[in-house]
Amino acid sequence: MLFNSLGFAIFLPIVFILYWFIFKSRQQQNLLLLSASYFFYGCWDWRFLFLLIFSTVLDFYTGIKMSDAKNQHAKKFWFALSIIINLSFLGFFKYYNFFAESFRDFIAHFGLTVNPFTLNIILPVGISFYTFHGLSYVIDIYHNRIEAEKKFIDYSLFVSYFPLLVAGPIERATHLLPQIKQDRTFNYSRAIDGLRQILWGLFKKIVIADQCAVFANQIFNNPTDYSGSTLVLGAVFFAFQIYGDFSGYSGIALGTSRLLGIELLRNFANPYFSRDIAEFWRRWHISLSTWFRDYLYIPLGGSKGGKWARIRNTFIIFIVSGFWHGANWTFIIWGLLNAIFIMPSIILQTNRTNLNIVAQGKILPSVKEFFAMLFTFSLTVFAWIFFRAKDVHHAIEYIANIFKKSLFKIPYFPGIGLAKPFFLFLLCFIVIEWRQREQLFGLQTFGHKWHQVLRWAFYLFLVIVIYYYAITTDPQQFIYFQF
Amino acid sequence: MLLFIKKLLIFLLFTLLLVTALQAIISFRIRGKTVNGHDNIELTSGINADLVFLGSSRCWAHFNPSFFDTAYRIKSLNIGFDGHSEIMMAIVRLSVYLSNNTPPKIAVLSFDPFMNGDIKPITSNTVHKDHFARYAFLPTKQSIHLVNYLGFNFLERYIPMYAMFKYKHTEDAILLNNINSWAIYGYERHDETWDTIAHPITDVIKKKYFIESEEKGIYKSLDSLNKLCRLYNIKLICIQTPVYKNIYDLHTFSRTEKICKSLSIPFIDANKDYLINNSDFFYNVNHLNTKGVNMLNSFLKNDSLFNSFMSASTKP
Repeated sequence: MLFNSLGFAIFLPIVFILYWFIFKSRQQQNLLLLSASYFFYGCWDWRFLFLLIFSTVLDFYTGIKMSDAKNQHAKKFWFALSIIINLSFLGFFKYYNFFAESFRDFIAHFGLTVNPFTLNIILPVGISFYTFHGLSYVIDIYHNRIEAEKKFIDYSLFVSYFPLLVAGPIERATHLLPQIKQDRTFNYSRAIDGLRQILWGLFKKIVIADQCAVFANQIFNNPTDYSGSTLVLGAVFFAFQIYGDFSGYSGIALGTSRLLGIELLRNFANPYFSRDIAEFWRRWHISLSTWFRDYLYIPLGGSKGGKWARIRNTFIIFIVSGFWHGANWTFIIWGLLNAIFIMPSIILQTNRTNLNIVAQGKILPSVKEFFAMLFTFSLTVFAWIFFRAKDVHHAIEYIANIFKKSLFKIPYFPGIGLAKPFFLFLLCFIVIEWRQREQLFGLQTFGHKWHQVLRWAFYLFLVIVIYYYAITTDPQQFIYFQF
Repeated sequence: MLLFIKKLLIFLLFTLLLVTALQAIISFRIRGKTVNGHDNIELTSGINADLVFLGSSRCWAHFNPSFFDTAYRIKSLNIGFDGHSEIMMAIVRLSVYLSNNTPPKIAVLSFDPFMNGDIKPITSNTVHKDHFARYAFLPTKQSIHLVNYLGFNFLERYIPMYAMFKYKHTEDAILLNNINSWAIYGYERHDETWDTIAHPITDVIKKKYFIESEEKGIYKSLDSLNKLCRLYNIKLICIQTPVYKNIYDLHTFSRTEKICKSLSIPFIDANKDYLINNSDFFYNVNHLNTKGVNMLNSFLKNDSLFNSFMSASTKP
């Protein structure tokens, strides 16, 4: 069930009404949310529900065992068991074929032929996300940061809560479990805010991302047919596609959860308005970046072990992050590129220079800030080429075709004329995001000072535009579902 | 909570009203007009013709109404349905015409081996379904036959603007760029000659000829059309218009005649050597250009069967 589907438009109001009007006690509400979450997940593929439930039972049980362990040895045993099984499932479903095929290709370099056993494995949707939920939970118990959850329903809901189940944000037990365990009361302002966040998320996904996807796919699928400047435009389209797609999804997830009185972690904070790569990574997929920081970078020593340790740890975290996205060398190179881009600031220890919001309190950025943002955006777009490409060869071919004389031609691709109204929406989108960069999302305070009639007219206009694009554009799967 | 639900419902109501108003405004703007240059229900609803032409693109491109208007001093109308060679579609189109107009005296069916009897599986990509998207929302008794036949779904029928958006009709409906195309000729006129280098002569289209096992379905559909015509006292005649010689074969093209004979429907085969041997009369292998259409008209004008049929059918 997609967030931008008719099914979800029916599912959410039903859950909302049952949640606030019928199931009034916290226990009942949690049970309802858990059932709704399993139904939501089962709509994708009910067979993988068993895997989700198994993973939930495993972490719940090992969590309790760790908590009850009489000595460190037993605790370590249960901890290792949970980590190994979780990573084995993730490894099997997500990486088995990649390793088998990479091994075959590697052996072929020595003139040897092996035919490793590959399987036609379907990747269970959301496995990377719920596995990371579970891992953070058991790691936190192991390090005595939290107590093991004793109520199975509450823990299951923490893992399977439908707004975040298939594409995050990757929650922490310290943040979400306390909310699950406390009574929720309906808050009018928060619910209205949630609706606005859903509306903006749908606009990002359906209008911006799906339309950019049409152009990006067209250009990426035939890189040799277009001028260098068009290929640059194609990469920029993909940059907006992936941002609109993923931040749109996260926005809908956060908004949906707000309607149910639960706050989720913020996942995006206007990353394309970053002045350096370090700032970009503090603003892009925040829940994953902080997960890697807390559960990988810091345990590796973080930035404490001197320059070379910092460099090593940075490379590790970015390569693992790339690999987390998918079993393809393109993702690993994407991670590596980001590590290289961030390296100057790591070496010079300037990675925490831009902690504030760009041009805070001002309408426009300074010239320096503008060019810093443009430079950072260009680096990001370059790295996205690897992320989007089918394989490394495709990415290299794409980049090689950019750097030709045609780089200085006016970009052109079939259908560019029809795309004019869309460019207007894209421009409006950038302006609104810029104006709202100090807020949690694009519509949080946008138009708040307007007369109610005007504000409602604006929301109605957005709804009509979303409706139009939802019907006229082929729906695109959320990119992060594949991860 | 109640305030939240109240406001949400009011907003949804406003949205529904706005979208419905948009549908109404656009429907009003395009009322009685074509937005794509093709025939539609409304363009023909005000025209009570004596003669209507039914069939697929070969009907739509081969029968010039102005010729018949002049030659036989009658009012004729081409309601051929481009892209649809099902006889069932001809029945649907005639039914729609009859629900809006007085019955014509004569119906000419462009009948050839490309025709088929049964309903094709209708999908979103069905040819020219988009031309009729304007009628999908809350269909009237005039449009319901077509809306049913083209298989517009529940959402397209009951959610305002859904079909208009889905079939990308909105821009055309607002700008009305193609408004005059239909009115100029009343049929699909092609002045160009066949560029046999760009579009070489092939016979692949022969694969579309109906096969023997389909004859039963064709017979049944043609019988239904004949019965419908009889019900309204319409004289039905079938005309097999020319194809280029490389796809013509006597055996296949005589099967149509056999079906018509068995149903006692008059039949004329216009595949005469002087017509089918000259590529100058075609714009592709199975469609005549203006020159070819003029030749077809001359042939019909001199055809004794057609003339006697016309005079018998148009007698007061």
